Amino acid sequence: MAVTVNVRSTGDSRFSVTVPSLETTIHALKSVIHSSSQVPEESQRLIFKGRVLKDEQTLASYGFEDNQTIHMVRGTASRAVPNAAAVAAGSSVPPPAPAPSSNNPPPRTATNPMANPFSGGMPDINSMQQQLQSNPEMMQSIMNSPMMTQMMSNPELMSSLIQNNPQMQELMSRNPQLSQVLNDPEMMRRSMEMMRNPEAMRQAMRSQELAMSQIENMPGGMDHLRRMYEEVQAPMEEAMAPGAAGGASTGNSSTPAEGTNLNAGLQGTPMPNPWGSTPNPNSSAAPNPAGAGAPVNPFAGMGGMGGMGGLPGMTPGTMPDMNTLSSMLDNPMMQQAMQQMAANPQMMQTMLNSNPMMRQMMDANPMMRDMMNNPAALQQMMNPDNMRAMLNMQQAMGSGVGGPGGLGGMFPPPAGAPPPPATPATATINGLDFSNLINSAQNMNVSGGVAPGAPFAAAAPQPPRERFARQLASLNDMGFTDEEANIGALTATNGNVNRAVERLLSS
Amino acid sequence: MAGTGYGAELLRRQLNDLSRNPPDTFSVGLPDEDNIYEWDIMLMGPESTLYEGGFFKAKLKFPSDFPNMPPEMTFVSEMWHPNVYEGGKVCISILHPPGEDAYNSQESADERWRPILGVEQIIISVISMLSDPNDESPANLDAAVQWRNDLKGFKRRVRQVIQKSQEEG
Repeated sequence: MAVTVNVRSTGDSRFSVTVPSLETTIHALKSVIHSSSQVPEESQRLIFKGRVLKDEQTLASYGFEDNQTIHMVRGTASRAVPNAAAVAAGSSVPPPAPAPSSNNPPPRTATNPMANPFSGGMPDINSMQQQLQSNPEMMQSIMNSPMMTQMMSNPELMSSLIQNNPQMQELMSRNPQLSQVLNDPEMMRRSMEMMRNPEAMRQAMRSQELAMSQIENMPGGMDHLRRMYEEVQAPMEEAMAPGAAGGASTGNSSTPAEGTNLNAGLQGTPMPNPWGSTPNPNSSAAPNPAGAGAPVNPFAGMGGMGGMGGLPGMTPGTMPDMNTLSSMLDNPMMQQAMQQMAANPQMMQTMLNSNPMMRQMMDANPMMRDMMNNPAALQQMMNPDNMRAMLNMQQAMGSGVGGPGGLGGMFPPPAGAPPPPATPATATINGLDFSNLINSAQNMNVSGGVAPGAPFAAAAPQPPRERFARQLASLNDMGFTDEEANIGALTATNGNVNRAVERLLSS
Repeated sequence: MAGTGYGAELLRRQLNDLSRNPPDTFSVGLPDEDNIYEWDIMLMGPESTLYEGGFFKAKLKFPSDFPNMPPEMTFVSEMWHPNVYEGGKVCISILHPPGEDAYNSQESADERWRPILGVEQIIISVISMLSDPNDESPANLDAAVQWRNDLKGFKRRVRQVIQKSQEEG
């Protein structure tokens, strides 16, 4: 008598198989399940009535009856770890089919695309990149491969690789902060780690796309993005792409050489330039807006990591990547870290004190120092929701990069430091030209300048005359010369010049 | 504890329900078919949590005055979790005796055991506990401290536990 076994596995999949009788052994059942589910027998764990079924037993011995349901969990069978030889062999393998074959064990599939760029002819780099992005598991298996693991355990190697690349170096000399980010082994390691976690990756990618499409909708945001791309992303890619060949020749011992290839293969894929053409928010929000994508370009992620984890890297070098920053906020690991930081203001403070830029800022602005010394305020600032809100604010101001005076975007401009004066200073620090952004920042300051300050208004009050200096000048230019009235109107309208004018006219 | 009466009837009915329509995340059975007061549970580590991939054996022991009093749940598989005692006993509010507790102001009566709760609710609570540890009232202090301060170490430890649970199977 044939017996129907309903199999329910984690996730949504359920199916039924038929076995000849209740005297069928579990082992035989597993092979039947294998043929209908592709799950290898050795990684099947069958569970029934609260017990794991043992291979040599029969269905009857567990009291199974026709048409009952058993659970199947995929266990990790003996782990298939690709060895170095397999990776090396991969270099001669032709480019993979666009979609990875699901029958292959993932680690093997994963090594192939990596191997390809350094064998030279990689015809379709974009498809590979998309493949990588659409398949975080593959990314993960890449990251988990022994080679990668080795590299990650040796971040110095990575930074030396980067420094051996002349183009990279040129880029870094133009952007000193970038080099700081790249040189921080701890940060590298952390962002690598993030890439290994498929869940976090997926999350980061999702929020990155979101952030991108949002920023594109902001007036001035598109300009800003394009500029970022041209100034940072593109040169970096240029530097990385030839790195595949260059790196191999510079490699001294075999391990670093392989490391270079791996590295370059991973990062060297040129991104389609979403901002090269007419800025059309809709089209560039399409599948791959992540030009600064954490997924494929670890450096982008690193920037974000640095900004967030914030310890040594909390410098303007991390600023170009506000998007990653905000996506980083969604990373549970990050949130954890932040909570820890928030719970430990002492640590936070040490960190701030050890950062010369911060110190300088604090010296220049005693109000800021007060704020930093106030654990409650700090905690408030570290609240992920607040941070996210601030990030949005800064992006809205179009000066996401320059605004908050070198604080790595971590903090809102203190009410005491009106954004326009602060911006030029940071712009130079960044080594990027943000002059056109300043204009947009100023235009948007009307709305943006007030909001970020709001949560801390109590902590850092400031005379309206200074706070609204720019608006006052505008009003003056418009012919409203009564300063007291102007200040009154601006205060009442939170610095909105238009509404202040209406107010002045109606009074 | 002859397995008669209302409590036993209730348990039998729940067991039947759960065997006929097994939930996605756990499986139940009786180690001893004659004793409805002791259940075997196999919990599958919830997806996208630290415990994903593990399957953990546990026992539910019901008191003779069930459902007036809650059962006790104990992990048989090794467990590493802030709310599970080292011996495996699960500490969650809905398994605490009903009513207000003068000594425990954190839990209100409606977070504790109520006779209308069933096995499924208990296990769902345990699964949600796995995905979201409560370190306010830790049962395993070491685990709670590690969870809070050394998440990496905690994950490593959990991975060991998962591996063990797979080998046991």
